[in-house]
Amino acid sequence: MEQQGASGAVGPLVENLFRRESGRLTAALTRFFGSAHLELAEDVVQDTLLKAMREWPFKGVPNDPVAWLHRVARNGAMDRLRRDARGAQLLKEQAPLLRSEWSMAATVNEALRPESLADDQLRMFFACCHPSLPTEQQVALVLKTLCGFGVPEIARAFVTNEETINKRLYRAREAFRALGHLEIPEGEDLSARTEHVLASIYLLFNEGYNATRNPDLIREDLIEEALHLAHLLTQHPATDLPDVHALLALMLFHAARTDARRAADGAIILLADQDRTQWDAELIDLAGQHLVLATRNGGFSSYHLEAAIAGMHAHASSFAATDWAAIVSLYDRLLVLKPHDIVRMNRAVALAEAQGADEGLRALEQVRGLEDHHVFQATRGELMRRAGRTEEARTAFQLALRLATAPQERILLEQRLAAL
Amino acid sequence: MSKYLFLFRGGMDMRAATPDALQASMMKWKQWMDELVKNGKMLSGEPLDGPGKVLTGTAKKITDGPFAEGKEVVGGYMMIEASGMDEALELSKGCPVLDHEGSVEVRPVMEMRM
Repeated sequence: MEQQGASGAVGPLVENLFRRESGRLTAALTRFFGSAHLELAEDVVQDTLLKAMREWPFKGVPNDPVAWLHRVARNGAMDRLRRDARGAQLLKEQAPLLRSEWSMAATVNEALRPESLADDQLRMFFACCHPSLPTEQQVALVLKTLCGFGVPEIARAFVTNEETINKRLYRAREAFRALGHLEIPEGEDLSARTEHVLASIYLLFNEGYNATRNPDLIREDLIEEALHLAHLLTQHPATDLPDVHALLALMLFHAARTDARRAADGAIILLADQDRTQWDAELIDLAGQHLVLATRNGGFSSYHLEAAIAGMHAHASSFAATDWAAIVSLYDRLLVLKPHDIVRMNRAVALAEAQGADEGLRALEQVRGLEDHHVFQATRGELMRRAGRTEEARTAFQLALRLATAPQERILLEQRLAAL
Repeated sequence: MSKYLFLFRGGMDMRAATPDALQASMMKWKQWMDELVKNGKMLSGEPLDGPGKVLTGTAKKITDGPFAEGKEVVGGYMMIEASGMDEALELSKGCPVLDHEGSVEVRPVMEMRM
């Protein structure tokens, strides 16, 4: 038995190595096999991980684990093409190069070149975000195939059950299989399709960032994956677009505040009370750089405005020193592009800071459709309190408490009520 | 010092396991085995590939084996060195196969003196 690996010193493995490589290999194999053979690609990847799982404890972790996984996946792909019934079907559909044993290895090696992996991931990303799939299915498919998460993990991330995720994935796969060859869209198609891709990244990020319902580690994974996917887009000339940089800037400005938003006991700390020295200066700096890149060639989108707002907060020396008037006017412009109730609510909050609680309340009372949202009721309660309307504030906070489900949010609301 | 054979059966459903779960399990196996190697307890061992065949009787009948369920299949073996059954059992307790309701069969190897 070979023991040099097991006993020898091996550097620590990257924590998400299997997950990350699973996504990269699934993308490469799916591009190679065609979208109809997604399951075959996933089987090859699972075989590869199983082989690593069983061999590495005995033989030690290879010096280059990534290269090892990719080599085993290439061999696994050839094996499946030769022996698997689905592989045989695929050979019938595919170019004659694959049919000859002599040229198969060269073709597989060429198809799964490490240099083309990033492109393959992008193609896969665009395919997962095809307009024929509803957004929630797109995101489930992205998390499963591209990010390498399992069904239980995705279910936890969206605070739902595995059955729901399985259903979403089942429908998503049906649509996905019909796509055929995976391409990065071109021309006008590209910008329309990029919008879908960005929307799914932002959803991913928000699920990770806003949900305090479940203080699970996957939350941070979601933020990381969203940043990773956006970064991937900036690495390809076709998708290195102003909107992508704007979204990246927006997410980075928020991510810089992640640690400051939560106390050691998990309690929520509101923006006004956050210790700004805990904000990650490097991330804020990086966000600023992306915001500059986002404005090249006159790029302009809702992401630009949201990034600008997040940037105003990130650069303000204190809550009081924040330029609230500028933020209100950014919200005014954002409302033109994104006339959503949430945006109206956030504008009202900024207006209250700029012009006083009464003005803020007047704007808030015009927001319709968020009455069943605990954040809306909590915001109302806070502005009522500041306006000296204590009893109305109490009613609003009590309503918010009935609507909130996350323990941390409930604690925060109870504190608010007790302080009235 | 005596030799003991560990036979591993069952354990996690690897076909359905997520990449994160596989990597975590791999690391646990590695840590457990590295410890055995470090303490000079490990003699040899290998994972087994499935599925195998079973040859039976004078007719040498070949079947796919009597494995009704995956949990009855031996997934790997290991030969270790221990002072006695008690120590062998103690060493087997750290095996990650147990985390997923799998089993370790601990068998003393018969000593043959020439």
